[in-house]
Amino acid sequence: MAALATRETTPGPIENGTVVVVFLRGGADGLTLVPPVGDDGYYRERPQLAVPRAEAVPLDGFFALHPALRPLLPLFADGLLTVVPACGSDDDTRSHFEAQDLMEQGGRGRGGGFLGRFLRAGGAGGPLSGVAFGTALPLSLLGAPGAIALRTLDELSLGAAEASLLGPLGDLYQGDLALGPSAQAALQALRTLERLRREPDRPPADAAYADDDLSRGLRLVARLIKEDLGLRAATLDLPGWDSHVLQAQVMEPLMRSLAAGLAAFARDLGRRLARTSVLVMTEFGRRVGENSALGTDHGRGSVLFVLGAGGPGGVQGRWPGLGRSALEGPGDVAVANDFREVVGAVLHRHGARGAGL
Amino acid sequence: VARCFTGFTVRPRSGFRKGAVEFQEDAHDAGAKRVLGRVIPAGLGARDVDEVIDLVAAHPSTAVHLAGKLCRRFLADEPREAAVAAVAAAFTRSGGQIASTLRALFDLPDFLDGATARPRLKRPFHYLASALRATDAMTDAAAPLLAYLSAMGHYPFAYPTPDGYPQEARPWRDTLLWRFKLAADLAGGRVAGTSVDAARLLSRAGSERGLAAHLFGRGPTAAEEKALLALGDPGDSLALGLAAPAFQVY
Repeated sequence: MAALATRETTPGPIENGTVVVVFLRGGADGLTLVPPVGDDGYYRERPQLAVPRAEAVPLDGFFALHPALRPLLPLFADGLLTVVPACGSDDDTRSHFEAQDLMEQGGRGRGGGFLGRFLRAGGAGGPLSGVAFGTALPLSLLGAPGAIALRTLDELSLGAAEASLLGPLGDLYQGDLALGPSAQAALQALRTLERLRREPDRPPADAAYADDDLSRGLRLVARLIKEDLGLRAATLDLPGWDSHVLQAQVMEPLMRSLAAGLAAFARDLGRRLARTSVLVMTEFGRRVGENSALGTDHGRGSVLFVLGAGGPGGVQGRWPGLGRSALEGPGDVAVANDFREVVGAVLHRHGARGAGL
Repeated sequence: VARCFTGFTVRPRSGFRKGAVEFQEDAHDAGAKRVLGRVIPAGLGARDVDEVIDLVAAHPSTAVHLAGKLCRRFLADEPREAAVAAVAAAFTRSGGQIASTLRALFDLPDFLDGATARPRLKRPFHYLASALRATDAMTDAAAPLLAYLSAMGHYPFAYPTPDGYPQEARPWRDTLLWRFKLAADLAGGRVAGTSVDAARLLSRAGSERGLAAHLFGRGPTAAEEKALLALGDPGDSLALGLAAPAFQVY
């Protein structure tokens, strides 16, 4: 398998692009998302839960996609989807909270979150440069200049008084050396958002968003990107992957939601996907061996996807194998690929210099 | 330092005396230790920690570190080195008395001289608290209000690393959009659990001019007074006052 994409092998930086992070919270099983159908250990350790070879959607002969992720296959074929199996962090607590925190900080003892540092170091600013779809900023965006949490465009309105307030505010901030530019940007954003609320969003007909939270969020993010509002980083959560019990029933609806959302997002963005990277990550993978409840327990390596311009495409990274001696701790997929390498390479393509992670 | 702290533990979060800090003598490393070049003699037990705290509190770096933080808070993002040194000296001289230290800071020309002293941008928490105070708001300080701090990335006690939320202005300038929204929502009565009586505030202040003086701590400029008068609605005037540049700074 090819080595991880490195700074030397990637083309020039993407200017004014957007990095989107979709966090699969709960520890998503990489062996179900991207089954290693060429690894005999997989079928030996997962007699009940393995994705049958006949149903898996082949990627490169060794790895495949779960059939519920089939909508992502055309993106993979076009080199727009990068798949990094056996990926994770060096946090081996197997605790959701500690592992998520570490991943969102991008390492121990760094100030704020990795997107926060990316936006600060990149000199990005503006009222809509960092957006978390939801009700609160995730750790990854902390420390970002002006990052906000947002669920709908309706939230960002000044209400009935808006029309009468925007003009005088513009006047009062005129000539304010410190705050003037930020204020004018904020007022401009309010005017634009007001227009967007009046004009319905019309994604292309083949962008088939699902009727769920992830799709609603991706659609909002796509709209902000298409309107050139200066969005540089966005985060979304897809929770619920903690599949201790009845893993197939837990994961299949989530995988369908993920695939539908990402495929629609890619079509909605069209050529703008060339300036957008979506990182799909999870805090850890799951134990290789299945448990007695048709589920799996907390493990280590999972899979990381990069959709869009920031990844080289294909299946990347090292595969440690699933032989007993290759497993980590109580029987987990070893972390052969550090998530920071992948995230760092993507942020670097988006212009992060040095302080990106 | 780690050896001095051995033996201290926190009781479990359930059961008897939950979460209490206690010292277990038999788990303590009783030998002599060397901390920052000073010897802490053997056998002090739990008092090792007092020694460490005394050492750290009296260390010259502590005075400079705290003086730097105070100067960034009250003077500028990048205060003059001489100003930091003067405040640090007052801290050392007074044995760490906060009143004497602050008095030295407030006596500096950097603080007193209108030509060099620049207004500092309130961070979102400061902005929110000052808005509630200035409007005599009744609030339950519950989730709907705190959501504004989440949205601006300044929720209390949520910063992941010990360096704390940035003090400098730059990361906070772009929260203006949410400040405008908070101003409009607060004045318009749209924050659940928090209420403000804009008409009463205005009548108590006597006029838009009085309201501006109450909010800004100074009389309004001609442009400010004109803008507040033009709205002709107490709620809208209050919203504009809270969203105005003069209310973003201290």
